[in-house]
Amino acid sequence: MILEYGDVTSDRREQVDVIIIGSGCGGATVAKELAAAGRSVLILERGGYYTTARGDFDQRADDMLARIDGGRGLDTTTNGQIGLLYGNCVGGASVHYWADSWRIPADRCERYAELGVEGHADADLAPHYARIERDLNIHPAPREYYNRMNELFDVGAARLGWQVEPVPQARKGCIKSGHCYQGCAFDAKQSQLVTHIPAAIGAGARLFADCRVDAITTDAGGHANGVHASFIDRRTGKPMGHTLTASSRCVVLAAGGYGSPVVWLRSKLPNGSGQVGRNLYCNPTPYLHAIFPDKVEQWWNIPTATGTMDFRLPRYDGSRYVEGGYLLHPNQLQPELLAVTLPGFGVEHRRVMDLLPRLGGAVSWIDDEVPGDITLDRHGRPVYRYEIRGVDVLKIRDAMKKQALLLLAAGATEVIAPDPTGTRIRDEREIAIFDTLDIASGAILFGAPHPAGTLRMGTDPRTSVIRSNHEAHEVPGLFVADPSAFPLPPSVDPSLGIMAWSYVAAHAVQQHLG
Amino acid sequence: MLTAAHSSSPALSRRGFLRAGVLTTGALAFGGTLAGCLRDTHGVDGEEPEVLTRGELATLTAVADRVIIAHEGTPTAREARTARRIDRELTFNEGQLVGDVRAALAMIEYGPYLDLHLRPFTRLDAAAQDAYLQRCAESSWTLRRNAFSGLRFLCLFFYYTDDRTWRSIGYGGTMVDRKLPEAANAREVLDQPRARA
Repeated sequence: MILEYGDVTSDRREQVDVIIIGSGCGGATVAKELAAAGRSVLILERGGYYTTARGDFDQRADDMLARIDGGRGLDTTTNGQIGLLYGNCVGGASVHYWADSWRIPADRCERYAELGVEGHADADLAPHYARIERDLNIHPAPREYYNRMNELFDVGAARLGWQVEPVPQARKGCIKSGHCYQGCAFDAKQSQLVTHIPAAIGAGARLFADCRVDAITTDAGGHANGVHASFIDRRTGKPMGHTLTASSRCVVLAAGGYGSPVVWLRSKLPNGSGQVGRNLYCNPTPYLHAIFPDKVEQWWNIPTATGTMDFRLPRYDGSRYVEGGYLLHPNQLQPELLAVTLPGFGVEHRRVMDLLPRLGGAVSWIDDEVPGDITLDRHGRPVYRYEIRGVDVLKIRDAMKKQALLLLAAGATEVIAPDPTGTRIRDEREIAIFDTLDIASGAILFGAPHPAGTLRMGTDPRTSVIRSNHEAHEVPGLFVADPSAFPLPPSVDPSLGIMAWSYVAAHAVQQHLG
Repeated sequence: MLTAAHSSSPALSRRGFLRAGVLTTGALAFGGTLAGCLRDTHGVDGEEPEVLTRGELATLTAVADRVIIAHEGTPTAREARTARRIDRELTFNEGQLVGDVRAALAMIEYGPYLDLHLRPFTRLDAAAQDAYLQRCAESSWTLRRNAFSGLRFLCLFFYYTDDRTWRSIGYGGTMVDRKLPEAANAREVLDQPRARA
């Protein structure tokens, strides 16, 4: 049963075993596990419910960002440097993700253990991965799913001697239509919307879409016991006047790395460690564009069928950064998002847009080490403070150099940086220009699709927010199942890792319920 | 264990950013008023904004005119109703975007006084507007640079989501029929009554 704003005609009261806030990779996974175990489960999703059967996925950025993206795709950090990419719909960010599905590397699991995370080692997660990979049809992308930009990426990498590998993809019956960021119009991408959500509903869970949780409630002993929520009129984005009061034996917070600390702070839940909303990592993402002699048409087929892990781990010479600390992939953007990431304006910008079919690009996902934070302003609205600084600046510069080298090796005649002056290079001997490229706020817009860390896991309640069983140190009965639990970013696309961690969370909730 | 090294202290807060923006734009607007240039009485091309003032919409329209140069046969920024679509989008925003856009528009409109022009942005000729916007883009003053980059983003995004622009840039379009969302910002719905909260 899925309830939408149009179905709501009065205030509602509910009583269930478990309330789950959010329906992305974390919430949907926990929901289907608990529902399958016979628990009464109510999923509350702030965003709307959209389906291909209704024709909702029309591949257009203006329509789809409005439907499925948090902040309708226009949220940024306070300094305007980072565009926040997150989900706001049933299925969460998995609806707009590129279906890249990596296991969390073993070295990162070990790092988590050093930071006080228990029970999430690679071996602990392996059976969960195996199950998810089967259920979501995760497989390396076959060659037929390499678009021209993916082919060029491999050509460039081979010339540079870099190892490439097919990126595991959660897809079934992909028809190569591209436009993956706008949500799959053919239900081929195995997002939560078409996998774990139907499984949860099939097992008896209920889902209220267009339902914004205003506060998690607690009993006299401080135990999480329900929520107060408002139904949102999808036509206006504003509360429609009807509310939900729900009680439960426990609550699972799974509103995402950008959303969960906001719910926590608005609820005025205990924050003795001061860590709620802090430690915001987000994988800032620099784009580089390139002009190729022939058509690329990057918007078709799989965005990242291939990529290189050669630079995932940073290399240091003593304490001096040398290189690496990011994934490097082909890029896929549609015209309007290409337009905003290309430099310049007026005639200069138009000249580059005229080359659109011949534009290719590369993208890096920076494994950031210097975090920001999320707080609330006096109106209770989220404030995202994040500034690329410290070693992350060096990583960005190195990543842009590698992107440029790859694009030139792939045959690009010119590489275009998205800085205000529209820096271009035609030869690898010009690569040092990236050491001084203006990347400060307002110069280049970075994407940030992978938030983490804002409700981090650890053993010490003075320095972490949740225990290794995903339960809050200070709020019994409140569990966290989303990337805000990661103490550091997972160094790869987080979706598969979030799901695997959420299996652990679901097991802990089961134990809690007895 | 987690340590202070894993904690955060970003340099620029929203409050600080906005306070600086409000003070600056307030001073600039005051200067503009003294110069008799603070205009909020005339719409542009008959457009009536829903969130912005008419004056703000006029500034946004002027910025869009310079950011977007249309090819013959494709709509201009005005024909695509780019500024008006941005204004519609602001009606759905529940965050900081409206305040940021307003601050940015004031910064752009009255910023020329800081460069010793005697006119606001909307009353400069096209060449002077271009030169001014380029100075904004490359300015070492973060507020000025952010003001332009934010408006530039919005103008380009909304212009190139108009499907009449696609053929001229070699984009073949989508594979499925369009279906407008309930909270649409499309050109086609701008003149239709909107649901009220």
